[in-house]
Amino acid sequence: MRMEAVFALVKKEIFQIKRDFSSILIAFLLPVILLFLFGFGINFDTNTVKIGVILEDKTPVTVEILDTMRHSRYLDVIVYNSRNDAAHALEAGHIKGFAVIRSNFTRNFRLQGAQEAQTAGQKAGQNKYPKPEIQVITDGSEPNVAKFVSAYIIGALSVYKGVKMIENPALRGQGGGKISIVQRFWYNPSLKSSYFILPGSLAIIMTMIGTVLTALVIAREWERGTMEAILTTNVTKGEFLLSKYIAYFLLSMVSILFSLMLIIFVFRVPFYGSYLAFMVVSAFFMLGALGFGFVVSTVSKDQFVASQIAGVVGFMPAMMLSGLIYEINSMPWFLRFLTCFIPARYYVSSISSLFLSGTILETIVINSIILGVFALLMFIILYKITPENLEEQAL
Amino acid sequence: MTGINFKRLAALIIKEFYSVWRDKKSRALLFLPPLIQLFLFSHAATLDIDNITAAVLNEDSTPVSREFLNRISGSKYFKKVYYVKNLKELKNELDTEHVRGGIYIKNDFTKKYLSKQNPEIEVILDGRHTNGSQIIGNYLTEIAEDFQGVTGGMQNETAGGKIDVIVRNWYNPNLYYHWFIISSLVGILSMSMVLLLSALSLAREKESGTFDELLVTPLKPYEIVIGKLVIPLFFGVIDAALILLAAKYIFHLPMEGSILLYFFALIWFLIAISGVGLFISSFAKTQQQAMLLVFVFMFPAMILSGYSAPVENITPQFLQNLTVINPLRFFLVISKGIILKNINFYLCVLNLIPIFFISIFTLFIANYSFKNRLE
Amino acid sequence: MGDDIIYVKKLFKTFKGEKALALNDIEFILKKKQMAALIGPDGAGKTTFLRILCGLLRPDNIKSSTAGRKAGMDDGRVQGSGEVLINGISPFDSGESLAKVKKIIGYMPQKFGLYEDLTVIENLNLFVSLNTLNGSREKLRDKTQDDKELINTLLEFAGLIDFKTRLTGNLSGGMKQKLGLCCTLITKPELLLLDEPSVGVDPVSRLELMEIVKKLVFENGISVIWSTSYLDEAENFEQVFLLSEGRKIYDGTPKIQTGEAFEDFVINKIKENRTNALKEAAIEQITKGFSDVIPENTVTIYAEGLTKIYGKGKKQFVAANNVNLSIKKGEIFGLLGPNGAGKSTTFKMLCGLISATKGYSSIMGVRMDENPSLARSYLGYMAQKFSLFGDLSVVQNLNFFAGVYGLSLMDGKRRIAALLEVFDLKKYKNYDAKNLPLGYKQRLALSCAIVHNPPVLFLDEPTSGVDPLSRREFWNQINFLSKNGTTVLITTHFMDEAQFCNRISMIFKGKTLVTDTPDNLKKLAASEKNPKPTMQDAFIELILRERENAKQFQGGEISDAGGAK
Repeated sequence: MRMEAVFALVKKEIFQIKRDFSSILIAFLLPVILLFLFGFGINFDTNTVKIGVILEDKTPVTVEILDTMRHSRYLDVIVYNSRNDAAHALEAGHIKGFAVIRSNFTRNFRLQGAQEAQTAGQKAGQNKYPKPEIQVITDGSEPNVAKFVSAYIIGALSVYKGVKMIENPALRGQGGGKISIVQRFWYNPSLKSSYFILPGSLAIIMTMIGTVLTALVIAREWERGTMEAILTTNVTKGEFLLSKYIAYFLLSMVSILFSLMLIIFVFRVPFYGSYLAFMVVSAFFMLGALGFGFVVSTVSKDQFVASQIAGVVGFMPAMMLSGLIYEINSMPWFLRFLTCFIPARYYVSSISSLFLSGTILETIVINSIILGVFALLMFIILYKITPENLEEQAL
Repeated sequence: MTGINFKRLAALIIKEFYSVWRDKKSRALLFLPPLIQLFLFSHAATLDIDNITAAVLNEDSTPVSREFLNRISGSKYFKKVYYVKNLKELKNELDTEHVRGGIYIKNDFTKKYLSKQNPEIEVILDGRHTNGSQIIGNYLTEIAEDFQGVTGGMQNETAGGKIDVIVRNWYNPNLYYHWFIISSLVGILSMSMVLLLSALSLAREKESGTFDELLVTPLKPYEIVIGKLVIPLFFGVIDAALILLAAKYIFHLPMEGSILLYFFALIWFLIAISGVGLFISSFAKTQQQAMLLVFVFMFPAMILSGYSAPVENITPQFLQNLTVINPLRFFLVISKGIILKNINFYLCVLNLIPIFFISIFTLFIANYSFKNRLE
Repeated sequence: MGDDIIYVKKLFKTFKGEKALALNDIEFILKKKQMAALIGPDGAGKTTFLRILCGLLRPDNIKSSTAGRKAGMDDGRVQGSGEVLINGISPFDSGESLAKVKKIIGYMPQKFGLYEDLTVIENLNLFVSLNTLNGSREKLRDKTQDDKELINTLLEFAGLIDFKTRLTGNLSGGMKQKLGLCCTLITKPELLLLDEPSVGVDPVSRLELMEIVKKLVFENGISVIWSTSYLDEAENFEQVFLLSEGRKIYDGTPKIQTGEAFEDFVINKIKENRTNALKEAAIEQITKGFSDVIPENTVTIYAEGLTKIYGKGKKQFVAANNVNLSIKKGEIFGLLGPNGAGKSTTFKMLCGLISATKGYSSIMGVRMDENPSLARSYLGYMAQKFSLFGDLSVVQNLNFFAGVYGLSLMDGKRRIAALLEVFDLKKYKNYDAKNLPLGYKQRLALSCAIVHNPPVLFLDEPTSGVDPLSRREFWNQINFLSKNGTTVLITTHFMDEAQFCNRISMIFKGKTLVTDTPDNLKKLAASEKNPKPTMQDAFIELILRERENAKQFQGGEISDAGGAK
């Protein structure tokens, strides 16, 4: 390895990067756009959902229940006169669900209450009266929202009951006190999903930058005949590849740092970990991503092939299987197994810890090692498929 | 300017077809990537949480608390419950992501419970996974309420009885998440295919100099636009059809609405998308630039489409307003609407109108840029 | 063997998946301090030969001690062991011997192997550093000093010293070529291998380069192999090595004993050895009756005040200034000029690829700005570098053009069958266009351009990079076309070709200098010293005169004219 030669090649790459405006755009504009999108576009925070309510039974009790729903910060209530109206609104997607408070609700509600009071302590089950019913219809075409709708409505109803109980302490249950679940969200007490999404999206952004940035750098050398000139000098394959790595590594690390600053100072996500650990994990991840990009660039003969490979093997899995958006634990076993081979998974886990909980050495070290192995593997593949002379490339 | 010369156009379309189809290796890339992604991501993409692991710190070793914990570990959501000795251990488990949540029962739990003093159970959740943690919190609340429903009673006439909430999920009774994903993927995957094909084919011609050759032929600009549209559109529709077949026969989606209406909407949508592709490539000089621009369009389109997260959740209002120029957003409504909801023609058309305008706009620009290819 | 810089014996080379031998039993010796021209048609194996010499490709039948990929080693075609020795060393013995050979050789690949997005000096520095050897560290400071001097000498030598900080991509073809040469000279090689160094370079620059290289041979005792398809260039060398279809068919001096003109000699030699020559008479048949309906003396191409201005205000740049043309049926009209002179712009305006800022043009009386589609339907177009649809087969390409020009299915089929026959493309029918040899690409491009019997044919640099035989054949075809009434508008930078035109416009810095017949142009350049100037002399004379004029006004240089393209 002659450092002069490597150094000269790196210098060359840097000159080229400097003059190719699009690589600067990729490295610095792309993260801004994507962070912005991830920061604002993907938002799992509990927001208000629009629901409809139909009062088939209009009494002080049902009006009170309606008011409770209206006061819930999760629900945005529209009152409909008939089920038909509400069903149309649901079909058109104006509301995400609706609750029907059935006729006879108040009567049944009171009767049931009285009965339960009598039979308290005994086994429930021998109901003399029909139960007071509220029907909840949700839009199942968006299952996630549908779940929130039913949960929020049920939540509002238990608030209603809770208020009743506080108004009347004598009513506290005979069997035991009211158990309340106090939820605490460590690492992210205000539970902003962008606190997780933004740092984690670095994995996708960097996979994308790694592949788009490098997609042509090797093919280009062949196309323009410069590879031939390089091959007739005393430069070895290793020196050549190393210089590519160094130049693009430097560029992408600057890009990562830039994104980190954006996340911390513009999007105001707290960062509890150590910057050093962040750089170490990022470096290993980036080496792998660049290696992947170089490999794609070496094997694919045109941009269509390159972008398909980059998409299917690169950032789609990074987005879907890294645990950023979808829980890895909830996936079927074969996908869980597959995620083990997605470097973004390890990066997402390290980064979110670094941001929100601090430097957890065990996580960082293990993830860094795994990412390092990926990077090494990519380098070995790249080294193997890079031709040493024109023999493989001649046709 | 006398209309379209169909002979010329047919020659162009055949040429476009062969330039995509002739190469055997890239032929597979027309169909495999969408299908692979369909199978992988329809399973991956669930926002349901199960297989939860939790750490339990129980300072109150009584039958009541044990019964409560049994209910948690017995529920279908939880896979494994680890018992820890102190808070430090619990923190460690949570730090390293061995568990997703911690349940802390203090030593006065049973005492308070039996004396009706409203005991608290502290649930510590991993805020790094906001969405999942919230759902876990809801599960635990549910379990607690259920626990009380059996052991406790607190009703009388004025407070009313236990309210029976009957939940029905229309369109997707079991709330299968993959129904939602697949009906969205039809649009997303065919969109990415059409975008790449249309944007790259033009950029490639520019790079190799054959674009000039096209322009010297008697083909009129709009004929070139149409010729460049048809083949990406064709493969996009085939990809969509393959996904729909898989959806129906492998994933058993209901396919409520009219298939005819569906394809009508699909084709309009894909015309708009290939318009975007041509629009993009009229700015790009090289394939690399075209590819970059494709990604720059595709990511926002996907993220701001209601697929990753509901459109209503997008917080800065202007970003939410921006979605009106996103054809994917409207198509997803139609796609889900027809596959799952059987929406009526009127609703379908209502969502097609913006798509229609987008396609007119992009095609107009593409046509204009062919006409004035002056550097 | 002592004073042989190159010694090659029994060299065979096959490419994977190809049946034909790329190089077939080559024997070649180059003495030290000699210059040899390597000539031959496209696909003859010139580049393959040079690549083997510098170790980029491995011959079939030379074993090496190092492990490596040996293409063709195991398919039973090995014909005994050959030898490749560069200064007595075989590049294929070991990694060390390869490194030694690399040190001796300076190789300039096609397209010069330069990084277009680096400046002149950055390119040079890069190649200096790449060639430093191990252990040179201790003297690094001295070395850098040496290198700097070397670079400056070279730049001075090549006349590039004032362009040190210019981007290579913005240099003219001739300057790129000189820079490419500098980059290979930086290692102080003993042997220079130049692969088609003069393609795409204007004749003035070609002459200059030749002078530089000759000087090198004379002063530093360097040996040179110069591969080219320009036969006039090859005539200046001591030794000419002619390859065709992978075989050596001539090795000797360009001064032919029989007194035959060198070019004719070469072409005959190639013809004797070639299996795929064209049936010349057939072309006449297919072009017959092309333009019979058009009355004689019709003005087919007309332009009035055609002007193209790029940019605005201070950056304004006139690419073509007030072009007036009137070309009649059956004429062959040439547009001549150095790169970036504006001939491309004029050409593109005439066929409607770019719109004129001022003035107008018409084809067959139909104005390009009024009814472009109709006007275009009259013309056949052959783009630079024969850009065909590379992913399509030969037949599919033809089908496309037949369809686009509105031929009926039957007519198209008949016509395509005839063209395939005449241009000898039948055997390549189902090949991807991009995989055709260059000469065949040219034939296909011409077939595509005339598939619809156009009365007007536009040809943009139709012969650049094509070997002499193909070029001659091509001109034959053009002559037949013109005889049958097709108007041909052609751009070229081959001076000898200009002679085949009926009339020529010489374009320089956006201005039309003269429009006249070739003979009259030659007379313009005639002087006492040179009473019978060639076309090349005439061209150079005219350009130099104009350059003098221009220098007096603004002191620019040729390549500046071509900033925008």
